[in-house]
Amino acid sequence: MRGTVQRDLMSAADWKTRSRVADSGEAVKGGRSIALRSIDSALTQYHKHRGFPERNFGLSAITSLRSAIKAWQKKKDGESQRLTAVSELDAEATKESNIVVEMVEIKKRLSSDYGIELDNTAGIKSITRLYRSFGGRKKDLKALTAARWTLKELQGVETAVKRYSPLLGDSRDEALGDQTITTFSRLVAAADVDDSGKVYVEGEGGTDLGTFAETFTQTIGGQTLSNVGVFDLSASVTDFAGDPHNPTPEELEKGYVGTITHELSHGLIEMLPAPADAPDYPARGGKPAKPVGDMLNHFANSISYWRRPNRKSGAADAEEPITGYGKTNANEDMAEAIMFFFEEPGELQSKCPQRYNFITENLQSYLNPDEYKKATDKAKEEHPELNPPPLPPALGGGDVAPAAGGGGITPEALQEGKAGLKPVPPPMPEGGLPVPAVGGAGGGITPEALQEGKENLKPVPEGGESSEGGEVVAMLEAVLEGADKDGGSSE
Amino acid sequence: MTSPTNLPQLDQWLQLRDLSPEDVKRQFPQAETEPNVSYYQINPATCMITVSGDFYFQDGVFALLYIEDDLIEGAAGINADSLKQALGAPEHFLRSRVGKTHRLHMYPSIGLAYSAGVEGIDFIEIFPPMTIETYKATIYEEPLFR
Repeated sequence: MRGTVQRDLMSAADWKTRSRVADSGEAVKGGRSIALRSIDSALTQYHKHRGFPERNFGLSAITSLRSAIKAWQKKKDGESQRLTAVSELDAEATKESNIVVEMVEIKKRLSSDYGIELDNTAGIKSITRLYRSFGGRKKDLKALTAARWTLKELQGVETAVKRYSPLLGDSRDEALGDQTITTFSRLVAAADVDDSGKVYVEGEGGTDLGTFAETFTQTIGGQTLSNVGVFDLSASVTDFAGDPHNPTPEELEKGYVGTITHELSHGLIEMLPAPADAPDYPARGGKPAKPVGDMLNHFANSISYWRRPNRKSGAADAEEPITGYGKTNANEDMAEAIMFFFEEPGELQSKCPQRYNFITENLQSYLNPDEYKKATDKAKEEHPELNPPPLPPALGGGDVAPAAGGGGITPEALQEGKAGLKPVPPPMPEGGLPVPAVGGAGGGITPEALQEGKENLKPVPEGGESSEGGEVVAMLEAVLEGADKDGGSSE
Repeated sequence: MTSPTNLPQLDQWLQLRDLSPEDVKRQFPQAETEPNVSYYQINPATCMITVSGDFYFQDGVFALLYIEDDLIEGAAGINADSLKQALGAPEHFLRSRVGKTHRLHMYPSIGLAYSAGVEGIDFIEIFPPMTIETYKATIYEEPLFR
């Protein structure tokens, strides 16, 4: 039986079918089923050519080969589905591995470039320390839960952190003291205090989630916290959404980056020393003048809306904060203003020129030069009328251009030292604090995950061929080879 | 003179709410007056800034005395513990505008509230005795923290 089949096959090769199979070979994807159909067709024609009715000579051979072809086709279809699934899984695994690797790279850069570690344990410890000092019991805080960072979130953190690069890592001026934010934590929800003074974890017992992110820089029992906690709710910030009920992913991303930028104002800017020439809080009603001391108080003293950081001036014509949330206190106002400076600088400059000018006049040297330029360029592009080119010296222009968009600055305000033009602090000298050690505990990405990610980085096989599929083809080709060897015997 | 709270400085502040604008001018000749301002829901108001605190009047009637941290720091014997000891447990707590981890310790029946956090007292408000509902409706603005 075997020889008969071989003879028939050998002759079939004369119908140029075999060469098509050979030409297509393994490299031609999807060509095999065509080749097999061609063999089938060729066998039928060969049979007719030889003048045998199908039911006579060669019928068994043809039937056998057709069965083999059908069986192979069936197997191939199953194999094809399996290979597609494997291919998709491989692609997914590769994608996820690439994500893990990218996340690890960001984690490394945050550490090496900015002296910031991803450390969820630090966040839980910070919240616990703060809220326990505030009357919270251990059991009130036991629901604090660490969460995993996503790539998008880490990219957002890096974008925001970069904006403050002169205050971080090796770039930080030693004269400014220890870096005030050293860890970022990703937790499910924040802690809070209710009206009765009870500490709770948001979301527990049906309580509302209310905190996007929180900065911990308090000193408790001689230990100063230096953590930013980021919570699940941070993915839902709609400050920059055209329709807050239906925000786009881009708007939410902007809200996320803005939120981290906001938090870093609390964590890195508020406590900076005010410029040496910052005006004192004025002497009033018999109270002596008082140095502002830090940047937050300098802000409160410069912005007409505030009398002190925790007290509005109550002046009817004061420039309002850029957001409603900014009305809470000067800390939040400054954080919101800096957030807008980077995210919507034109809007900040046009609506809140006092705040925009405060940033450009006092914070430039503390902000990343490229990011600062990007923001001010965007403001100029959006509001050229607020950003006229400086006058040449011959026409009275000097080194310090008039404050852009200085609406709302009255002679009285200037007299009081509010919103006055102040030269930008000189750039910080080179050098700074050593980078904190890399590899703190509790970050979302473990060395194991890294290793696993690297191991999973395998190329996806093109066309999804497997060795088993190859064996089937090889088997058929061996059959055809055998037919060649026996060539001519039937002729 | 007896001290109802055993904290002479606190009693002195509480007594200042009996002053009229004219009294303030007499008692604090250096007082600086700001018309047409507001203190949260107290709007419009006239503010009189003095060395003992900032007075807010509405139509010539005392509304609130604001004592900022500088004055508290300089006041003998005034801190969170001494206030708690003198006044007892707060009648209510409210969120403080200073921050999420600061609380407004409310004694509305006495006419006093103070904001405090782990780092001490932020400010004190002295006002006419009232209910917590009246305080919320006429003075307080609830802050939102996120």
